[in-house]
Amino acid sequence: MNSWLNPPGADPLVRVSHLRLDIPVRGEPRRVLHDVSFEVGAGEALGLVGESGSGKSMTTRVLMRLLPHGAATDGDVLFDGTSVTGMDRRALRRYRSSEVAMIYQDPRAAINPVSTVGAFLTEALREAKVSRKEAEERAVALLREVGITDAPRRMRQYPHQLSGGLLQRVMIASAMLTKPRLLIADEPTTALDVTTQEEVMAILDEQRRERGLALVFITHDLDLAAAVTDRIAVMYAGTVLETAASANLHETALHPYTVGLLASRPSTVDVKRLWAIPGRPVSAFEAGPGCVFADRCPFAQDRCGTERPALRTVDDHQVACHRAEELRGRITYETGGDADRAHDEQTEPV
Amino acid sequence: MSELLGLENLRKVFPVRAAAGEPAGELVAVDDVSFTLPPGGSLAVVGESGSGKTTVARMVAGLETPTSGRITLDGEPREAARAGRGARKARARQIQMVFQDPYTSLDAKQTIEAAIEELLRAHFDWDADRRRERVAQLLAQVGLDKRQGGARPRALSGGQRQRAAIARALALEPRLLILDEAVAALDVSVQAQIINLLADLRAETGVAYLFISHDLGVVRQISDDCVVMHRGRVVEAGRTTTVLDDPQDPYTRRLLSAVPRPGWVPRRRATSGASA
Ligand SMILES: Nc1ncnc2c1ncn2[C@@H]1O[C@H](COP(=O)(O)OP(=O)(O)OP(=O)(O)O)[C@@H](O)[C@H]1O
Ligand SMILES: Nc1ncnc2c1ncn2[C@@H]1O[C@H](COP(=O)(O)OP(=O)(O)OP(=O)(O)O)[C@@H](O)[C@H]1O
Ligand code: SF4
Ligand SMILES: [Mg+2]
Ligand SMILES: [Mg+2]
Repeated sequence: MNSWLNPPGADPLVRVSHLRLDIPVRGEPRRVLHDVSFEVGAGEALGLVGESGSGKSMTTRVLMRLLPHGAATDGDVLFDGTSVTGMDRRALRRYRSSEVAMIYQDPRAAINPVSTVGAFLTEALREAKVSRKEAEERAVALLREVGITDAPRRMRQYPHQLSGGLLQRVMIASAMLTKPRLLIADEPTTALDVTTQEEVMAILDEQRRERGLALVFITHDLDLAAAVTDRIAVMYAGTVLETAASANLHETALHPYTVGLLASRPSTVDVKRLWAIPGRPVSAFEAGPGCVFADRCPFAQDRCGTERPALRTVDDHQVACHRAEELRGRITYETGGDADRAHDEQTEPV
Repeated sequence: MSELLGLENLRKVFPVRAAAGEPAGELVAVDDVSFTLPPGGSLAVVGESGSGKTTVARMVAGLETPTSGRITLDGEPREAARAGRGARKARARQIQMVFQDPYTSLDAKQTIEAAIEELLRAHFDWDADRRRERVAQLLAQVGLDKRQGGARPRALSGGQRQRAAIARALALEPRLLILDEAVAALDVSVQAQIINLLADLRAETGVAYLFISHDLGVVRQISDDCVVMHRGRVVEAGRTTTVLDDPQDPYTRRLLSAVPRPGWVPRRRATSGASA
């Protein structure tokens, strides 16, 4: 087995290895994830980054074991050494209520619109037989910790009376209530303005550090992920293409897709024609037998179309590219002319 | 300096109906906004959600009537009320709009080619050959091939659909293209292609852009000038590079400092949950 998946010493809190997921679409199984491997240490923050349809949300649903009916998985998902896919009802209930917590992009979909913030926050505690008075005190204290000063008033309000940013803070508070060991945040700030995003991210980061929580942070924004996580896993077409330390990712990225993604983002500090990866992102089920990025990769060779590269260690990264060593530091994309147009013509729409 | 588009003290007030616990009143969506755009120029309007960007765009496009203030095209009032039908049609042709969701301007039942062809037929007395030639030219310009041109919007990817919407908007050779968050919904890698495409099209055709966006990185790539809006008002305006490199207004600074970039650390402000 890959040695990086099994480092000597401590077990990671989360270990996902060679995860595969099929979901029935009109009665036929459709491949959604085909080889997802990553680890998250206790107290560590991992960014799962990728474009739409790459499988980020589906990966978290496997972690939470919240899968659509008829879904089939393969590979291992371990939490603290225990298989999440193998948990019985009771173990699963305990796992979901006290070990992991989740925050979504749209908090309004995760909160009952006709119950107050206070009722929402104290519900789980009351179920755990905490007295009403104590539950309310703990909720108010937490709201203050996430920067909500007029907490008692907010407790009596309904979700529609709160802005998106404020509601997302309530969600963070709610996630902290049960003292989980792992927090999963699926694009928690995508719907927010940048200034509100900064605010919410600062609070999330602060809470996580103070409590030593592990975090799986999902976003399509590589720069945002790099700023708030320790390591990053780049996903594409239902697989992880590269994992690396978040610091200096711009300088160290090895996979042609990671490099392209970093270069695609327009900079706020200088103007230059963007490097554009040709074509469009594909889903797992559309990928050919070889490298999932082959039809967009300017460096693809014959073997890339037939042999799927496995995730392997190069420098201190894990990278799934046949040519990682030879391309190191030499990757550039076409910036002029018709290269991007010409390529786009070859791709098929979904 | 010649001027294509001019906005003078533009204001838009919306009536607000009474809601639970709140009396009826008024909402000032756009408040005293002025700027000019030269022919072939590119001006970005940036600001956060609700700052009034779309309302400005809709007034320029003629989809919304200003409460007060003036919009001019080549120095003439945009609504030349007494102009004849032909003149009005010609004027309408000069301004086209591209939206965040390309479905807004594309008919689901029509192929891309048919939609553009129909538009050409309505505006020009051209024969079928000439129209076909122009359709092919437009598709090539935005990077769509024959097969994609013959497809309905639903059969295209998001990026291809946005290319189609741009081709359609360019069909009547407008002098001003209003792009309202036109690249916001696209995946990063596809967004980069469309940004490059927009830069090329402006160089090739001389069309001017009024580019509405909340994304400062995109604005830097696409505009010469920019106007920063906050709560309906212009808080800062100037050359894009100057405004972004050396912002003067505290709000512009705050906006810029919130953009994630290498080395960035999110910071909590002194303010609390006061704003609902
Ligand atoms: N209920 C479902 N049934 C079938 N396929 C699905 C379902 N939900 C998602 N998919 C498919 O699974 C793949 C991965 O989707 P997923 O939601 O995990 O992507 P994502 O990376 O979270 O994207 P986004 O950035 O758009 O949220 C996509 O191709 C998607 O179309
Ligand atoms: N038809 C309308 N009736 C009432 N209020 C409106 C109407 N259109 C816009 N508004 C209000 O005017 C303000 C400005 O809205 P506008 O859509 O121009 O903002 P924006 O800057 O485009 O925001 P976003 O980035 O979210 O698109 C908002 O408070 C909005 O709710
Ligand atoms: S394996 Fe080949 S196609 Fe895939 S990223 Fe590497 S060079 Fe490109
Ligand atoms: Mg998702
Ligand atoms: Mg808008």
